[in-house]
Formats: sequence, structure tokens, C-alpha cells
Amino acid sequence: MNDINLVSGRSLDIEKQAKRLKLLRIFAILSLLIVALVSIFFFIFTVSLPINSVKQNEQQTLSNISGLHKRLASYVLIKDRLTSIQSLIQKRTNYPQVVNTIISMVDPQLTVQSFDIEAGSITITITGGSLTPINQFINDMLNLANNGKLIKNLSIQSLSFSGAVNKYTLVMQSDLL
Amino acid sequence: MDIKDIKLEDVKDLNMDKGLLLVNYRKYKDFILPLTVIFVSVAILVFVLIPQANQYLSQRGQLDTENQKLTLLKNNYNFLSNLDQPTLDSQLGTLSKVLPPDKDFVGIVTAITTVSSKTGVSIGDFSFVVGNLSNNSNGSNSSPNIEVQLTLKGDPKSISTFLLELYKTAPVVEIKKVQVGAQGSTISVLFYYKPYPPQNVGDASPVIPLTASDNKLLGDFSSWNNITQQAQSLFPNLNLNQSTPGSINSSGSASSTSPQPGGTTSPF
Repeated sequence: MNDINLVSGRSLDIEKQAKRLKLLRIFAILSLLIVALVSIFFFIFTVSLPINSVKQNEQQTLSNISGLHKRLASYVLIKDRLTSIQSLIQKRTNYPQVVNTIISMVDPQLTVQSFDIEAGSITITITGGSLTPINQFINDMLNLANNGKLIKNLSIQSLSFSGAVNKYTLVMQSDLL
Repeated sequence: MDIKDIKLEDVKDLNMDKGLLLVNYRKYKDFILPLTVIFVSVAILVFVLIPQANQYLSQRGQLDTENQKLTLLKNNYNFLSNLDQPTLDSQLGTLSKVLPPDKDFVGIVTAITTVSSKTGVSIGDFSFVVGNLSNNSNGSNSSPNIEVQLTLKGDPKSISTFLLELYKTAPVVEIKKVQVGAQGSTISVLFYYKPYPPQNVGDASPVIPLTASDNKLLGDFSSWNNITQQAQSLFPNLNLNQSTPGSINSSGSASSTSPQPGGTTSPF
């Protein structure tokens, strides 16, 4: 016995279309809901941002600070002075330290005849009746140069003896670090 | 096309199209509403929600900025509230002696004489190289200076002590040249000064607390030879009211823009 098709092609089409319509309606409702929810979400979040209260706080704090403006101005000046002084102290020459170190190395038996420092260069002339303290002074100066403290090189320009006064004279030149 | 040119077949076609449209409308009329809703939703999303989201994000950013500004202001306020005006005035006074706002001849002369009496080195002639008396360096970062040539009398050891003491004396100095000789010694010293910067401090500018090195420096200054007040007693006949630029020597007179004996010019 042949199968009898009880459902017509037209009914199938209608059913298919009804299904599509249903899906479309669901999709439409969902999209409407999503849009509404997102819109409400953004509205609530935008409204709840406390910008105005923060600005009000700022104004309040600013008006409080304006009462302390003199302190602020004094403080800024102090900071400016300190920065300037610090930079000056850091970049200024250390000539007093150099003079003090070298003069303290001169033996009491020796006399400093001259001592010149200018533009990072030292020239020292010392005299003495004995070569031993002169030798000691040269060694001390060499140690300074070798240890990289204050001076970077050392040259003996002359070492002479004067029979008239019975004294040795040493002239040394050095460049500062 | 003129109305006379329309043929009967064309009218029939029109009627047929209308009918077809009607059939299709009846067939799909249920789809129109959901499709319109979807279309409107998409339109709202594109034209309303996305700009709203952007606005929200920008407001969020603005809020963050305002919050940072508020925190900064509160920190400034707390910091400034804890400062003591008399202490600030005293610190500024000390610093203005160390780095005067103008050519402080009184401070210079006092510094030299104080160091001289402290170290036992006697001062011979001294001369100032004053230069331009107008404060044209106002507001710049450079520190102008006054060069002073000093003739000292003393043994090398006391000269050395003099130089060390001079570096611990206000105003701040830099020694440029030292010539120690049997007859006497000559030194060239730069006395620094710096005009106050313009008072355009904004309340919302960040206030950076003093660093440890700043505090140490401030502490060190308290032990410096800082004796501006004694100037008039040490040099009772010193005339500080001349305004001719040029050289000044110990036996002559000094010139200045507006030195204030015993103190410094107030920035306020």
C-alpha cells in the first residue's frame, strides 16, 4: 500500500514561516530588552558618577588652601633657595680642601714660599734646609695623586739648592681632579 | 514621458505589481513589526548607546583626573597645615642670608671680617667688581655673583683655615683663585646672590616635601658663620647708600641696589 502524505506542502511552508516569525519576535524582544537594560545601566552609572561632589570638595579644599597661601609662597621660595644653594655648593671649587690638605702635609721644617691655585692647577714652592722632609712631602703628594684624591698628576718643575742661604727649593705643579 | 504615451499594457502591469505587493504584504505583514523593532534597537545602539558609553567613559576619566587633583589638593592642604609660619620665615631668612636676593654688600663685608677675626688673618685691601646694578637676571635660573679680590696677611696655615671658614659662611661663595706668597696672599672670591623667582605659585601645584639632603643642608646652615646683624657695629662708618656702580675698596665706599642692613629684602 502506498504511503499517503497527509501534510500538504503549503502547510509545511506555513509552519516554517510561523517558526521564523517566532524566532524573529524573540530576537526583537531580546534586542529591545538588551537595549533598554544597557541604556538604563549607562544612565544609572553616568548619573551616579560623583563628579559634582568631587568638584565641590576641590573648591572647598582650594578655599582652605588659599588661607595658607603665604605659607605656600614661603615654602616654594625655601625650596627654590635650597635647590639653588645645593647646586652652587655642588659645583663650586674645592680649593679650601685642597689647600688645607696640601698645607697640612708640609713638614714644620719646611716653608711654603708660594702656593697658587687657579683654573684647576696648583703650583707650590717650598724651601727647607734638609732633603728628608722634602722627600717626604713629594711622597705624600705622590700618594695623593696615586690614590686619585684631589690631584690627578704631579710634576716636579725644579729642585734647586742655594749655597748662600743653605736651603733647598722645590717647585711642584699638579692638576686638580 | 507624456501621459499620452502610456499604453494599456503598462496600466495592466501596474495593477499586477500592486496586486503582487498586496499579496506579499499580507504574507509577510507579521514580520514587519519584529523587524522594525530590531532595526530601531540597532539604531538606538548605534546612535544613542555607543555615544552614551563614550560619554560615560570620558566622565569616568574626568572623575579620575578630578580625584587625583583632589588628592593632591588635600595632600597640599595637610602638608601646609602642618607647617609653622614663624619656622618658615626663619628658614627663609637663613636661606636669604646664605643666598641673598640682591647684592648684599653688608653680608659680604661682614662675612669677610668675621672670618678674618675668627682665623686671625688680617685683611689688607679688598675690591669689589660690582658690574650691572639692575636685576636683569630676575626669574632666570642662573645665580649672578659679585667678585671680590682680597689681600690677606697670615701664614699659609691660617690662610688655609680662612678659606675653609669662608666656605662655611653666608653668603655662599666660590673661591676662584688663591695666591699664597711670602709677602701676603691674594684670593679671588665669588659671592653669589639670586633674585627671588616671580610669585606665580598656583594652589593646585604639587608641593614636594623637603628631602633628607634639603633638611641636612638647612641644619648645616645653622652652624655657618651667619652674622649679617653685626655689620653696622663692625663698620659703623660704612656708607651703603651710594648708587654708582664700580669698584669698592675697604677705605672707600660701597654701592648697592638696595641693601638692607641687618636683614634681607622680603619677597612678600
